[in-house]
Amino acid sequence: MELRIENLSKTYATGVQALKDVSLRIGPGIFGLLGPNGAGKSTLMRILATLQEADSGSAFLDGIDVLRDKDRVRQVLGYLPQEFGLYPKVTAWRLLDHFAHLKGIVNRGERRALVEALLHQTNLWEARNQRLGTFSGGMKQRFGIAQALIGDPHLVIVDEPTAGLDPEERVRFHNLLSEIGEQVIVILSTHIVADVSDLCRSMAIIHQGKVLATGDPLELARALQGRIWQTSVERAAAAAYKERLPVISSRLSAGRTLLRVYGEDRPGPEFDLVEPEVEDVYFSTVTRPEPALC
Amino acid sequence: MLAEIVRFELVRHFRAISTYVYFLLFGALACLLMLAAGGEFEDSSISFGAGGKVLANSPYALAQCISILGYFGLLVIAAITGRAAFQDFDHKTDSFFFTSQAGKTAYLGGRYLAAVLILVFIFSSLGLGLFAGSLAPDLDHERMGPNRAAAYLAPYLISVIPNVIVMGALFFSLAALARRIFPVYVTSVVLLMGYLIAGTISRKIEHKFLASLADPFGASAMGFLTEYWTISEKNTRLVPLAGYLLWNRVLWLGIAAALLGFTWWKFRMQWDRPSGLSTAAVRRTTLSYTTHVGGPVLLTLTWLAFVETIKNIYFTLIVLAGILYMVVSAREMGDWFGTPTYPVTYQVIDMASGSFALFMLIVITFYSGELAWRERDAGTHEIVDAMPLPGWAQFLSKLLALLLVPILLQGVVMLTGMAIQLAKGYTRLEPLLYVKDLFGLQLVEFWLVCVLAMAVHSVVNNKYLGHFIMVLFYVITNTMGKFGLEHRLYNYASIPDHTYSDMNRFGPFLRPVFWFSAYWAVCAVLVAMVACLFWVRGLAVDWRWRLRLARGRFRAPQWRIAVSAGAAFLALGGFIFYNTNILHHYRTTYQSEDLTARYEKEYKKYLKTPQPKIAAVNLRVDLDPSRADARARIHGSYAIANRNAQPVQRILVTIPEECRIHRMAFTPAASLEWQDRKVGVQMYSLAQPLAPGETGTLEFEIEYAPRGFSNGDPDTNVVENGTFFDGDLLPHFGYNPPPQARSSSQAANGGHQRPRRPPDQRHIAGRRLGDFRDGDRDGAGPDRHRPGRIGARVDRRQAAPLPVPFARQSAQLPLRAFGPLPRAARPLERRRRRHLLSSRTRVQSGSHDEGHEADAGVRYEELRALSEQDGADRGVPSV
Repeated sequence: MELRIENLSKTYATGVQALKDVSLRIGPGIFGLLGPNGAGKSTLMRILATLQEADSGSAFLDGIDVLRDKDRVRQVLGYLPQEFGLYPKVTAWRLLDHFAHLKGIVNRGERRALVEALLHQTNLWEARNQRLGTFSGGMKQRFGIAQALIGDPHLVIVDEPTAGLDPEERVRFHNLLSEIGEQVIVILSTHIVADVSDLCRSMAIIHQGKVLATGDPLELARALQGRIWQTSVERAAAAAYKERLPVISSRLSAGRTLLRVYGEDRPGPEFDLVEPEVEDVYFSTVTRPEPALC
Repeated sequence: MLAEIVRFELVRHFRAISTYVYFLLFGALACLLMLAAGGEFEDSSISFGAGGKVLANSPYALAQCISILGYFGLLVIAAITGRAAFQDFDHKTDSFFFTSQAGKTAYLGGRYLAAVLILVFIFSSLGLGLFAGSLAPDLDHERMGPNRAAAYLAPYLISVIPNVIVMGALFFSLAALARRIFPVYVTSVVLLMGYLIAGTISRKIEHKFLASLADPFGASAMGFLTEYWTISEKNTRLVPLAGYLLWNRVLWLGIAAALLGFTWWKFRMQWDRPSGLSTAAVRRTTLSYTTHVGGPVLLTLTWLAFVETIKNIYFTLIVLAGILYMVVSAREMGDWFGTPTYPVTYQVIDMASGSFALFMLIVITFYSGELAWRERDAGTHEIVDAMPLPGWAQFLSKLLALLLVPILLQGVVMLTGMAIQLAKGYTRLEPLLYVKDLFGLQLVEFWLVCVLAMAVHSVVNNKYLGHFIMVLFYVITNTMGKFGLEHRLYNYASIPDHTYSDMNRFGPFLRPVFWFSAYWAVCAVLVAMVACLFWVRGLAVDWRWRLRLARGRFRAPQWRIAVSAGAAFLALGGFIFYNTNILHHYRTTYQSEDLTARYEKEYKKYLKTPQPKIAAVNLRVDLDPSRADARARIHGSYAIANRNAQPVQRILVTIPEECRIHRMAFTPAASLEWQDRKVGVQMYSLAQPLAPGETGTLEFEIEYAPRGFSNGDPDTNVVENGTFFDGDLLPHFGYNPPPQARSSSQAANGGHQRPRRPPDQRHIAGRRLGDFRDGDRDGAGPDRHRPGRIGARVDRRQAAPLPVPFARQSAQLPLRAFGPLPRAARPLERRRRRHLLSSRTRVQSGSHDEGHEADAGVRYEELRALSEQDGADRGVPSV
């Protein structure tokens, strides 16, 4: 099972080029799509979810032409959009049942069993007869996940799924995802690096419509071995460093600024060599256009 | 798959309260109409375009009624089919459906089918309501026939269901392709109101086949199909699906199919979020708050809301359509029975504002909803509602913005009017008159509607229901009169029409306009306050919360406003009531027709009683138009003669109720036997009968002095400049049969049946030129028009011979030639629809005088008029 994306490009009518010649190979497991807001992640997701057309390029899921043979894609697709709404006056059970029917599960008994299982799985069983308008953000999100899991999809696309979830729900969701991810392709788009490093065995970093890096997150991090330097400076002094050195990230820690710098050699005596993390991969890729890591 | 979508939608609709609200509303309306037509209410004059002896539950009447009501259901069709296509974009559930396995066919087809089914369910209440109404125990049996199931069902087949399919296809396609709901609503209201106008145009189309095809609702086709049906056919035959109607239905169903096919072809199950618009709204509405709250912020908010309303493609389109309509209407102007007239300002104002009023109401109706829902539609309400701004400021800024819209549009009307005048080569523009009429008098009515619209949206808190209620309001205010509810005191925003004339300016029209405007203005203050109290801020939308919040918002200032506005409302209402009902006579159409019926019933027996003829008349008329209650005192003497073969013993004298009688002296002497002042009849018996060929005299002194003001048209018999009245005010002899159309039906039904006739005012004594349309309907020929004479009088009473055929007039006419226009032209009056709300406006005749001084003094005129021949020709009916 493999999703093969080749030379995908998409330009909006406004002139914004959302995707530039994107090529990716995605196998079973959770694939992390990392990038800042507006990088083109959602456009890519929507194209894969048959909701948008690409200008050029191709995408194949095990012989299914994703761009053309949309009906066959939809049979194996589970999609959780970044932004969605629900009919406020319908109950969770009824709407999920309706979606299941639309997914092609015509047999009433099967559908009932499936809906029940999904509601349990997403911890919505207690709320099954509540109107969706009364759902909290987390419940809504879980409902979205439940509908994405209808009918054993082979390709699950989840767009920024953990936004708005509390830590506990997020953990539960991660478990759920990795459970599914054992057999099928799950594409997880996010701008939270931790999500990717926790869950994914492979990832891609997208920025301004281009794929800047792909690979196993840990291997990508390992490739930076010996080139990430860190120091802790006064907050006031940080700006001077940023001007002088290729600082890839700076964050506060105990009132002082932790600077991480990318470099072949030690930038100064106050810097220590540190173990690179996925975050370093992300920041070094996104903040420095060159060199691209592969 | 399709079945599942249909099932899901049906369940959703059947669990929604709005379905039942619509169902009950239409059912109740139908039931009410049946009760009215069946004679349940004394004061109503409803018949479903049938009238006469066509039974209220005859197949024909049912077909008419169900079709007409179904046609008002257009808005519901728009709401339901439009939302069927739009709901997923609205709720952002589109991606779920588009990634499901339901294909385009199942998705679109299922939604459309479900919408049609639910609409058929809703409209089934029409037939049920009519049926329920027909079962009422105390209906007039002469108006009711046996109930037949087929008669109730057939209209669904020929009208309701095809219309649902056709109109539903239109709205569904619009919403599906535009992925927005606003075009659907604009289209529905433009169609609804446009149809009212087009109804009159299509009747002018010579070719019946084309006219019947052009009407998507099939009403004109049905009209043509049944136009030659006899009463018994109308009572027994079902309107068949044949001929014109069949072709019409086939054509429009075909168009609907083509539309749906086109939608299916064009619709793409794709992500396509309209961007830009909503984010623009987000940015603007969340800008510019300061820590200071109050006046400046209110102004800024108002201005932002106003600018957002008018900077909008739909707004521009509606206004452009309105301008186009004005220009088209202007082509009809300038001709009165073949007499060319100048496009004088008052005429152009009348024409322009009359044709634009419809568009004004459309704009107010829509943009009230848009304003009320702007933040919520853009999804910014949670942000905005959390801003440090008092709730009243939010509501008030929206209301003020809406109030600015009619000002802008009246400006558009004014400029268009002037452009029309200039285009016709007429240069004597009167900007001040434009300002006075458009901004001084008409604006109030539009503002009142604005307040109501905002209040409805605030209180109802459901955009679609709000629009529906507003349209219902327009329908109700225009039909209340038919149910005998004619007084303006309980008809919101009802202000008497005014008539400008170049001779008499606004004359006596201003006084009632002013008082009614003031009365409704204070009412509007109360309405706005209630709306402010119930304005939804944040997410507390259930009624328990809203009531609690409203109670909390009702503090001292609100108390003060409520008490003072309430007191002013009652005081003004009392004052108006005193004037219209106590000083003046208030009668509903029904009541005044009843009087006519009584006149006929009680006094027809005197038709053959020999009466004297008026041989010569000598009058002295004192006019006193300067005071608020203008009056005329008439001293007169008639020379009377008995030209009958029998002696005259008793004289039946008619003097209108409005006249006070000071003296009536017959020679030879006669004494008052009895009188019936309401009908205006007195009976004198002569001490000595007047032998054939013998002559005598009548000396009289009567005073025409109406007091107070009228709920309907003001009394215009005596005015500052342009007094005109005729023999109606003078005594005349004998029984004069009222127009035939009326008498037959009333005689046949003992005065119970309501004749089919537009509600005419009782106070026709002051009728002026331009009433010829009503006159025509009464079946009198065009010879009754006497164009070209100032003050020539045409009214429907003329169908009966005029009792005393001469007129009194008094005016100053400083005629003045001007302008290079080649045509000898004189402005004449015509009547036009001015507002939908207040149905008619009348314009009084005048000349192009300018700056003349009104003559306030007592005028004394003497005229020896009337040859004997005239009297003999057109006077008293001779035996």
